[in-house]
Amino acid sequence: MAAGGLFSTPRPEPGHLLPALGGLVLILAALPIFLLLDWPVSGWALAAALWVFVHGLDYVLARVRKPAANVAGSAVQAFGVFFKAIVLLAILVATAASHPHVAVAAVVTYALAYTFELGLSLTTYFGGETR
Amino acid sequence: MLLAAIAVGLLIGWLAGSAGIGVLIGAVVGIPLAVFTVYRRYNV
Repeated sequence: MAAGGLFSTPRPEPGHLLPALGGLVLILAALPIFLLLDWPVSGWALAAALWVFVHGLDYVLARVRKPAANVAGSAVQAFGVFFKAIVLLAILVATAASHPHVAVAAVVTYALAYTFELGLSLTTYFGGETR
Repeated sequence: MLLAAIAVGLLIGWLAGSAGIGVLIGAVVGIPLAVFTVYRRYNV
């Protein structure tokens, strides 16, 4: 009952800065670990590049759809979600086919950063004030 | 909190003979701890 109220209560969209900073901290913290443990640094570089690509695209699309926060904005957002997922999948599958160790390192690093961002996003959204 | 958990995982893993596994476990444990810490800190 309480969970139903939690999910059905509208809240304003939270800021994206804190979750993005969290992901950035995790990506940056991974570099010395890769160097210390002699893991493939190219895997870290690939994860960092994918993180920059995803957030750069998010930033551009957010600026594009801001004047039209309606159906057109939703279409732009949907395009962004699918485009990001397809590009990430294509790059990681191609890397896994040619350099499996690099792909595993990149996937683990990116997945940890993504999970941290997701957790922070959910926290700021559900912890925010209701409308 | 996240970095501390990773560091503790690295130390325990290094003592146990596999620093890499320790780092990964430290990160997996540290992420929810860090999210909870942010929640408590900002009370959002």
